[in-house]
Amino acid sequence: MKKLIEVQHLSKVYPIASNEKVHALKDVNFTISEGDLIAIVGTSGSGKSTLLRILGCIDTQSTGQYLFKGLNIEGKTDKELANIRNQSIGFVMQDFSLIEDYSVKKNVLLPLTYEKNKVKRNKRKKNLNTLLEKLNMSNQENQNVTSLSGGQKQRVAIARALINQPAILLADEPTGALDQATSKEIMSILHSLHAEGKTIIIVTHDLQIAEQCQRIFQIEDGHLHEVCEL
Amino acid sequence: MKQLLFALEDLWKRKWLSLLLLIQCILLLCIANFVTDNIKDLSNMKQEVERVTKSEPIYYFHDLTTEKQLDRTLNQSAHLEEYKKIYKEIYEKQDSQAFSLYSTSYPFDLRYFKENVKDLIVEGHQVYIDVLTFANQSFYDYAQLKMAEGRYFQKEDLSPSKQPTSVVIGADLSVSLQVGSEFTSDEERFRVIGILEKNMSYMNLAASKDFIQLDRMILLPTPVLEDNTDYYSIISSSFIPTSNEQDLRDLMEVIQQQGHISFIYSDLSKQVPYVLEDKRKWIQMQLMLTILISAFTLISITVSYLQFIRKYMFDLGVHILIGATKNQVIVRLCSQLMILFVIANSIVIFIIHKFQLSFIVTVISCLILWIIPIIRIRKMKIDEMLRRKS
Ligand SMILES: Nc1ncnc2c1ncn2[C@@H]1O[C@H](COP(=O)(O)OP(=O)(O)OP(=O)(O)O)[C@@H](O)[C@H]1O
Ligand SMILES: [Mg+2]
Repeated sequence: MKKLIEVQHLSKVYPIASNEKVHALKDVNFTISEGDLIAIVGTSGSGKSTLLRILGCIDTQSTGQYLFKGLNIEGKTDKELANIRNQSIGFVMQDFSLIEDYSVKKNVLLPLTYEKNKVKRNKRKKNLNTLLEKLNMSNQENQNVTSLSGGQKQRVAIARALINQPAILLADEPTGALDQATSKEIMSILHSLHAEGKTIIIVTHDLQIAEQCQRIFQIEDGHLHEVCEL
Repeated sequence: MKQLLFALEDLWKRKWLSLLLLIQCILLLCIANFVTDNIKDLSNMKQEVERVTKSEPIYYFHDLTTEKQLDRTLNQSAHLEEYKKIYKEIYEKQDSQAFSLYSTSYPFDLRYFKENVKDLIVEGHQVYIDVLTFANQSFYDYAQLKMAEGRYFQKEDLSPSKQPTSVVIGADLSVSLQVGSEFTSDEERFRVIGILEKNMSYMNLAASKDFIQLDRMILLPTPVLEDNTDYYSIISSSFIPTSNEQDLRDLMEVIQQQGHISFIYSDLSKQVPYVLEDKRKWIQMQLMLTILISAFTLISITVSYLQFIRKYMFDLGVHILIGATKNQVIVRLCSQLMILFVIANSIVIFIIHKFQLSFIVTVISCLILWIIPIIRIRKMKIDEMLRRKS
């Protein structure tokens, strides 16, 4: 399998006061291949979200190297990073991060606003229906997202993350705000996406969910190590 | 372009907050206009002082007529005779330089002023226009008039028997009339010999001390004397430029002989600095106040605007998450304010017909208002923005 992500000696330091710093990540090394389904587990404050943000190009590391599709992310401009986020990365967040007073359709199509290529944009617009069907949301297309249940909102968020057919899906506690039954539903969606070949990283507290994944990374106090390989 | 649409959507989404911001912007622009008006008045005032203190002495009257004297003069016609005598002494003496700042609204035939009617008072076939009489060379010097077209009154215009009567008109009236045009008031005929430049004004230093605009007034070289002419008003707003104090003493004697009214005269140039000082203090206080109010308005706009932006932080975070750059998001924020100011400017222009200043104020306030949000967004992490769910 082709390497999608390579991380070497990566660390992240947050300055919090003039002479105080938080070492959120310390010398992290791993590689991820295309088609992997990975769980990142760890206690609260261990640095899981920090890692995911760096992988998702919404934050940058303090030291170390991060290669995405063989591309060194360091030193990229704001514009280039935004383009990577738009084209190659799909985010699914714990609190869904949807625009509240937009319809389902408008939320899902929002990433296309930042696609400059008109042909590509129109082509992807056509994916909307298949995507909503796959996520069982076609009936709610024009409904306002405020009126949806948590599980439905998360499905809209997944649809939005997938509309640009990204290389990887990054999910930060996607089931954190959902009850067990709904969590299962969301997980089965992620599983079926993985079966289709999508690379997915899931940050979670829930060991049951982690066990369903191919590989499990554990972060302890900023140090990452792989727990087992199934 | 897309960000502009998003900005419009944002404003619409929180209509009431946007409306509040809009009202504050309009307020700011209006107050800023007041501030400059005050500054203009203040500089006019300086010129006024220089002018009056430089020229030859101008004397004006203080009315010291007592209640008692008035009681004795209940007999109206006797009263009128007295006034007439004084009037003659002031104005009909040889080489009289006197002028009066007495103005009155006078009815003219409407058909000559068709293009001006919306600015004037119309009654039937007549239109009322303020007329300043005695507009002689002394007045011309006093008010430092400038002609846009034609000429000012000369000796031959001053003869009361000259027909039609020569007049000079204010700049605004030139939409209806030109040099050479004639117009009428009942039987009387008038001919325009000159048009003043725009924004000509004078100040009655002896009375209200406000600037009186001449743009919509008609100047007459001599008074329209009728039986009911308000001699008292003409006399009490008389100004007599002369370096010969003997003339004035003669005049005072005539007045004293009448017994029923008392005037004293004083030299305007000696009084004016004190009078103007008061006025200037007043304007300065007004200026201070308006500047203070505009500062407060600007602060309150800043607060409302920051509150407004706060409500959008989450949305902006989502946009960055799915592929917007920070610059695009900043363009969106700046557009919100720009749209508001464009609307505010259009409304203010509609109200006060001045554009230039509002534009400058807009640019400056936008720059001030943009600084904080731009810095904040530049510094803010995306996860921080995403936590700002309203
Ligand atoms: N923007 C920031 N500025 C300063 N410190 C931060 C910032 N973000 C995270 N941290 C610190 O970095 C450490 C790791 O935080 P992170 O959010 O990655 O933890 P986490 O594993 O996701 O925790 P949780 O399970 O509670 O979400 C924490 O000690 C946190 O206080
Ligand atoms: Mg976290």
